[in-house]
Amino acid sequence: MYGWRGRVLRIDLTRGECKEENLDPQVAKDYIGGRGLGIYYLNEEADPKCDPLSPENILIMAAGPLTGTSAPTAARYMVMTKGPLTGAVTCSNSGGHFPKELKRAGFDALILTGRASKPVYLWINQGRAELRPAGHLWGKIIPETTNALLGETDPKARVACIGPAGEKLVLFAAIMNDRYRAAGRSGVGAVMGSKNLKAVVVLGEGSVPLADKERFNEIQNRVLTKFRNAAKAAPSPLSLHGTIGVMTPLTQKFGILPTKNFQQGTFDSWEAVSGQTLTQKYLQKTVACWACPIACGRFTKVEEPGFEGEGEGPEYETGFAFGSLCMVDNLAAVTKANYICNDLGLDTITMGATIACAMELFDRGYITEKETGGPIKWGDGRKLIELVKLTGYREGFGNELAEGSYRLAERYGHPELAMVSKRLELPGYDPRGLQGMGLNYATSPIGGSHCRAHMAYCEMVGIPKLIDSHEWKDKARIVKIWQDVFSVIDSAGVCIFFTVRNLLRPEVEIFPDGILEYLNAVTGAGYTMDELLKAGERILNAERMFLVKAGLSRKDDSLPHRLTHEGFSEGPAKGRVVHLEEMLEEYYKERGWDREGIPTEAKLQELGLT
Amino acid sequence: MMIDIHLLGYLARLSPTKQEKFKLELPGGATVSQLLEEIKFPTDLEKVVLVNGCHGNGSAQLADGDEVSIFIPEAGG
Repeated sequence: MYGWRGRVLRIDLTRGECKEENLDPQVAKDYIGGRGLGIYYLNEEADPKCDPLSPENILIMAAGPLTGTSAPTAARYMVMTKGPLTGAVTCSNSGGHFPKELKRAGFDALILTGRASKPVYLWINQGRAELRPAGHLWGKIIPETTNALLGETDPKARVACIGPAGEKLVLFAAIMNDRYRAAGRSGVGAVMGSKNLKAVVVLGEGSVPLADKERFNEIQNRVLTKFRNAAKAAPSPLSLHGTIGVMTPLTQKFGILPTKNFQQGTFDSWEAVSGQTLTQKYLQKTVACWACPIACGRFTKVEEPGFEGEGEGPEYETGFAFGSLCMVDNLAAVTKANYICNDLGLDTITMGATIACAMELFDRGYITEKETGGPIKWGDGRKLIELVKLTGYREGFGNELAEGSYRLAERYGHPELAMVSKRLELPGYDPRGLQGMGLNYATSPIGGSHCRAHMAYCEMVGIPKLIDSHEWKDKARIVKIWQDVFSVIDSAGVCIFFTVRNLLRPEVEIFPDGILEYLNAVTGAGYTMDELLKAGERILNAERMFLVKAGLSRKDDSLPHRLTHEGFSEGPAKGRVVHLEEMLEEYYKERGWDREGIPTEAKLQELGLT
Repeated sequence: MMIDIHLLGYLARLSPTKQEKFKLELPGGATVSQLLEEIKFPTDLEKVVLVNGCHGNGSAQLADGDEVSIFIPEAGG
């Protein structure tokens, strides 16, 4: 096989055994890789009703066929499991260098089952796998864990590991790779911790074999020349000021920057916590993942007393979650909170959103100092940092925050104040100004995520084409198409940031022309566009079936009451709410699902899912 | 009439003050196109223009006190 390595590694943590097996080429073609491969194996082997933190849950790390080639941004992998925060499937994506190393070591996916009796780590060295004791690493934070593992394996190896948060089963613990990169959402780090698996360390060699090297080089030349010429006219804003510099001004100007736990859509102090300020005050250098020409990563350093630290970030999502969402206008505090999340292994979106929820509960008197141990006030940057640390170690009030915003708010009698869908905290786009994003949040297989169809591209900045962000009629058709294409992107192993701008046909109903070209040159699989789109739809429906079997349905395709019934009192998105019910009706029809949101037999047959 | 202009990021180099934010005096009834001509915005450079937070095409008429933000089209994050 080309592109695909054709090998999957099974790790039975209960027995302490590793075993290689072949990847079925038809499965590879039908599910592409990455996210698709993950849901294929989850549906085949996991019990959707299992306790996510039990040995019965299965943790899958899967790269795409493009991952590890030099196709632009071909650096990504997916962590797929049943998420402890949500009870839904996870599609936790990360870049950096660990994913390409997995492909170089000869594997398309790792399937981790059971639970080790004592802490272990998995060491994959040029295709040979072994489980090694990790008791001496348990309790260590991410940088110490990473350095220790590189010392006892190989300095050129790549590490994906959990910190104290994953070990203590914080429901939104992340798996951190290459020190600062996070497979962040849904608590995949807690699943790893529940299995007593501290880390996966990989060293590979050589390159990912290509089916048609000449064709691949021709596409590369064309795509990268076009990208570089465009960058000469105007450098990519992502590389200039990072995601935090691109999106903060945009969401602010659109009036959809989630502020004060989604009570407002604009933040007066937005510039203090935007990317331009980060560049001026703390940026040391830009950082790129493997094969990425954009370099949106920020390596930063803060020297202000009380906030000292260095590392990658903050990204936009971190910036809004610790910034506007909590009314914090101190970028040093936001950045320090980000460093602590990197060190302890925590999802920054859920962390910030849970603190914002706690701030609102406290503000309204639903929670008091008796429970929290001290005041939790809007805008308190030092309190922010203190709460992140407590959460990562499940200490004091941090033990309650460690359950996420929904369980916190529910415990104190006000679940409506958790800004979630399927218990996953919503990212940095208030959907009252972006109807399509609102529908995507509610129907995404993992819960509230912008990454399953990044509607900001078309609804805000017209990439590849502008659509009316306030219109909800006919929006379901577009969201369905975008979700299917994003399934393809997630499964191929490339990054949204390059792909959406450069590898899609410039139409509202997007077609992944560039991904099709790259996939066929790399794998030789001879996909037609129909087959590729069908694969994307198949993956989305396979995830939906996992959710259905886990007990989720229409009632879970929801948004908070605030977003469907309470418009802003001011700003460019004033008075608007998400027309979810109308869009949902249309969406289920577009998807071929019944009115409960369950795929019909006809649809499953069409996709080969029966 | 006076318009508040915000040229984000790289586009600040087109500002008469080289600062991202500045005020510009335009004749009453001026359009977005006329504003772009006034600041010599390169005609072949892609852009997103927001007038008070809403997309404004070239023929959109401006009013005194309007805020116009201009971005290079990019998203992500």
